[in-house]
Amino acid sequence: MEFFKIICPGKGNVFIDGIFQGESMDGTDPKIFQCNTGVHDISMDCLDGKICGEPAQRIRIEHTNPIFPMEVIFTCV
Amino acid sequence: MCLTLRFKIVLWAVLTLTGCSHYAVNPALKNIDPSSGYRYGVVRPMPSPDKPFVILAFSGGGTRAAAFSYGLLKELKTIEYTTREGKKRQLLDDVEIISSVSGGSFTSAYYTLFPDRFFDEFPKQVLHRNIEKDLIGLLFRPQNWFRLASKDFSRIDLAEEYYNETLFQGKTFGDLVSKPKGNTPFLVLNATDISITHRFEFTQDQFDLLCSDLSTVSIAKGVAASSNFPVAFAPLTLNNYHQKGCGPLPGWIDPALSLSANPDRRYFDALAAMSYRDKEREFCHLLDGGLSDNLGLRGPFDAVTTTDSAWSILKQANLKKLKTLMIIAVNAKTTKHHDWDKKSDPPGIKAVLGVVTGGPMDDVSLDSVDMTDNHFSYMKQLSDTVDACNTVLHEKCPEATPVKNPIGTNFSFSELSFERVKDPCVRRYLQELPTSLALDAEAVELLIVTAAQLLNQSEDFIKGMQALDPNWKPRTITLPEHLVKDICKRP
Repeated sequence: MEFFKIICPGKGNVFIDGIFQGESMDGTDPKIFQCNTGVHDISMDCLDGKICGEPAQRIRIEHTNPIFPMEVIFTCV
Repeated sequence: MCLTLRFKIVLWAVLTLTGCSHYAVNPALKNIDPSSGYRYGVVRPMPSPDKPFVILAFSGGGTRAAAFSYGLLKELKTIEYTTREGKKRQLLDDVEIISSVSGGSFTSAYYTLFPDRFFDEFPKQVLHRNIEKDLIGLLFRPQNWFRLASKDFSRIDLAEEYYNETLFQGKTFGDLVSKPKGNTPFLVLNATDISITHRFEFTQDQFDLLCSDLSTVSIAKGVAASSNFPVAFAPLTLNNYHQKGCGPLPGWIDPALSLSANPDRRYFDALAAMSYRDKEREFCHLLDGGLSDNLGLRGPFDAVTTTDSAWSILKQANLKKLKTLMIIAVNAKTTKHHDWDKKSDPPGIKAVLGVVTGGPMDDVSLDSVDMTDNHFSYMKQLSDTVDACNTVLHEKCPEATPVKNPIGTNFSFSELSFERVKDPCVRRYLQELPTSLALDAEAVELLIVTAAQLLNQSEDFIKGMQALDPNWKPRTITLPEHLVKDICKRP
C-alpha cells in the first residue's frame, strides 16, 4: 500500500487515474490518500472558482508509508 | 419422386435446424456510460461509514459449494448486532458485494435476483435438484442433436438455456439494474478468459472492454460461464465489438503499461484489459472461473488493494466511507485421499485429468486466502505503527502535533473451509464429497449447518463482530445428531 498527499495552497478534488478519490484537505491538513504501488496519473480540480496550475502528473508511487506519504505539488490559480 | 421430395424436406429441416442454432449473442454497446449499466456505483448507494462493508466470496465445487454458501447466507440472516444508535440490524443487510465462482455462482445469482424468496425456494430449485441428470437428459433429445451439430452452438449453450428457463426465469443483468438501488448486493460472477488465462467478470465495466452491452445478457449466461467446467462443456463464446468503437479504456491502464515501473501483476492485468482491443480479438471464449481463481477472492482482493478496480473499495477508504471491512470466504475445497503411491503403476487418465483440472485451482486458492489475510495483517500493523509513533511522540514531546493515521478501517477476514471442521469423521466426509451438480439431501443438510457452525466458531469473525458490537456473542451450533451418526458409521 502507498500513501501520498497533495500540497497545494488551495482546496481541490483529487483524482487517481481519472477516478475521484475525495477532497485534498482533511479539515486544515492535507488528506493522506492510499493507492497501489506503481505509476499513476494524479490530477486535481481546484475548488472556489480557481483553476489548477498543472495538468495531471504522471508519477511513480512506491516505498512510501503512512507517516511520510509522498508529496504531490499542485497550485490553484 | 415422392421419396426425393421427402428427403429434400428432411434435409431442409436438418439444415435449417442446424444452421439456425446459435449461442445467445451479447449485443454491441454504442458509447461507454459510467452512470449506467451493471456497475457497482449504479446499483449500490454510496456506502456509509456507520455500517460494516461486507464482501462475500463463494468458491467453486458444484452443488457442494452452492449448499455451503447457502448455509452462510442463511446464518447471516440470523445474525443481528446493535448499532451505535442502539438499533438492531441484520448482518445480511450489510452485504455489499458477492463475488463467486462456478457452483457458488448459482447461490450468489439466485440470492441477488430473488432475495425475498431465496431462503424458501433455493434448496428445492437448486440444491435438491439433480441438475446433472437434467443436463444429460438434454443431450438425448433428438432436436438437440441437430442444434449441437452447429459450429455456433455447443453443450454450454444448452446448459445456459436450461439455467435460464429452469432456474433464473429469463432474468438479465438489466433486471438487476432496474431493482431499487441498494436492494441487493452487487453480484460479480467470475469466469476465465482462456485466450489470456485471466479472470473475466460479468460486469458492465468488463463488457466495456468488449464494447458490449451487458443489460440484455441473461444471468444464466454469467452462471454458465462461471461454472463452465472444462472438458464437460465447450468454452462459452462472447462477441467482441471493439472495432465499432465505444470509448476509451479505463485511465489506470496506460500508466500501468510500463513493466519496469509497476508491479508485474499490475502490468499483466493492464495487458489483459488491453487485449480486448486487439484487432484479432473478435470473440472471447470463457471457461470456469475456477481456472483463474477458484475462491472468487481475486476480484475483492484487487478492489481492496488497488484503485485500478472498477469497483475499488480502496477508493471508498479514500472517501472515508469505509470504517469496517469484513470479508467472508466460503471455500468448499475438498481434499481427497488417494492410494496412488501404494503401487508402482501410475494413476490412469481419469485421475491425471482430475489433477490437471483441479490441482492448480486448489493451489491458487490457498495463495488467495494467504494474500488477503496477509494484506489485512499488514494494514493493521501499519496502523498500529502510526499509533505507536504517536504514543512515543506524546511521551517525548507532549506539545508536538500527532501524526494523522490515514488507515481508518477495521479489517476482518474469515475463511470457512472443511479443514476447520473439528469432528474428524464429519471433516473427512465433507472433504470427500464429489464435485457435481447433484448431491444427496443428507450432504446438503450437513453442508448448510456446517457453514453456520464454522462462521460462529471463526475467531476472526467473532473479533470482527465484537469490534462492531462489543456485546455480540456467537451462537452454539451443533451438527444434527442423526446425520453425524449416520456418516460416522460408514467405513
